[in-house]
Amino acid sequence: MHVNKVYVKSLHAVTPGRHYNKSLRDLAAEAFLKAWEAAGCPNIDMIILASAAVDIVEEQLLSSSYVCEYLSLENVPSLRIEVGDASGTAALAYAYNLVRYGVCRNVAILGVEKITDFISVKVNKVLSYLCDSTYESYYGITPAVHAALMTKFYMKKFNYTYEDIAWWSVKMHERGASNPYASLRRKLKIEDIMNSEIVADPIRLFDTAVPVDGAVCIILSSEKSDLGVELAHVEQHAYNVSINMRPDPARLFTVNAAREVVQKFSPTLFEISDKFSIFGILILEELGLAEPGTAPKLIREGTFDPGSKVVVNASGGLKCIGYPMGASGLYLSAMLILELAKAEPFSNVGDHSIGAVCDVGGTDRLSNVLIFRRES
Amino acid sequence: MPDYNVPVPRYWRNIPTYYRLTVSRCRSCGRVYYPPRARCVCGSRDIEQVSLLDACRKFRLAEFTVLHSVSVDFEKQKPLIFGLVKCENPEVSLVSPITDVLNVGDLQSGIELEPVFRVVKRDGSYGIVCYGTKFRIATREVKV
Repeated sequence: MHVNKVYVKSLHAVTPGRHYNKSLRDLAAEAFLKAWEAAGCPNIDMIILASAAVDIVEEQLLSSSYVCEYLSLENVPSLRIEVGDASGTAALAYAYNLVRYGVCRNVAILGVEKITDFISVKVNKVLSYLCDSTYESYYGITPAVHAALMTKFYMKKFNYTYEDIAWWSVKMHERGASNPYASLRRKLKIEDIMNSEIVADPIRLFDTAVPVDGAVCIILSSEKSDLGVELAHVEQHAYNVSINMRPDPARLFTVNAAREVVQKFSPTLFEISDKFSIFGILILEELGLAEPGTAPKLIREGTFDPGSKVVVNASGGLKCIGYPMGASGLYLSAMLILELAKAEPFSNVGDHSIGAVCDVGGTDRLSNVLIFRRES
Repeated sequence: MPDYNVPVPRYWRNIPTYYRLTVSRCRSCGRVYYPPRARCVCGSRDIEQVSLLDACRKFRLAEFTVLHSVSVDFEKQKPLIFGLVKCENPEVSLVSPITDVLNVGDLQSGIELEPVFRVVKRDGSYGIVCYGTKFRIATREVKV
């Protein structure tokens, strides 16, 4: 069976943040139009909207169709993909297959989230829908509760203190301070992290990724582009089991399942979902980049800093980008593509030809690993 | 439009799990699930609903966290405490609210807990008062 290679035609990421003066449609339009124009306005066969909460925040169903109307794409078919905060990479995975198997030539994946229209306690309620609505959110459980329990189990298992975990955030802010795509662009000291307000003990504000508005568009195509980056492989794994039913709450089983593909492609550049610091730490260990129990030490020592053999989150990760929920994974992907293409501001990252994005949906309910390759 | 969010039929449907902590038990292999399931991983669809309040004598706290950044329905109750609670027989764990804690220092991994019936939240000005099962540090004598 003939299969196409899948290339990144173009992309555009709106700097995430509190865009009070822009609607969800404005943000989506900005991301799409800039990416589309950069690609030379090709015919788009399908638009895939990735958003976790558009229906809740905007009170809008059929959102992809209304976004298309705003863009005057009157006859372009569209759909929305929602798998919580992994929606963006799930949409990329779906688009990859459409292009690979010749169903479409050009697909625009549009990740968009408009969360700051809500006050923070309402945002927390939306986030709580990532947990089981009937059995968890009903009682007030949010993803931060899961992450806090995971952190405590991990600390106990490997005899770490909270400070050891908090170093993740210090290292991310070192990187993100110079990233124009980051919403939190400043270096932080360990004291800043450790003295920030408590979210869910032991997790503090800077151990989380702050919910922000954002929009990012990546156009995948069967035709080569000047960017010279190919989406070479997608890997999706699931473990549809609640945290209380897991054999070890301090593990990411879906990420571990992608370990073989990482070994096969040997990427040296990673963008991973660190929506809570513990997720970043566990992903490093589950993917085999660090032995179990060693990630906090290695990250603190600078093993994965820009310029190293293996570089993780040169963008500053979601700690600095922020957490545009369903668009998060697309932001990580956009950052990785720019890093591979050695585009600004990532010229200091080093010379890498293969990179991977690792995105996790909910508390390890699913994960998507995407392998990108720079054309030699 | 009246200000309420919890649909009454949904609440009514969930009363067994909110009030009596019902879990699913597979009659074929004995596995227990919370949240409940319609089918066991062993393939059996012969599932019974069991109340943990009837079936389980001992609940222990495995780990806990104090949540300060709460969602809108719980603003007046913050901070909230949640624990991973282990039930010994049948063997199942659940993440549940921990209540009646005067001093967080009293909470230690491994301590015994007991279930209590409590208000969970009030659904706006016109909605229902929602109840559920929470856990507190055990005060009763435990028969072994």
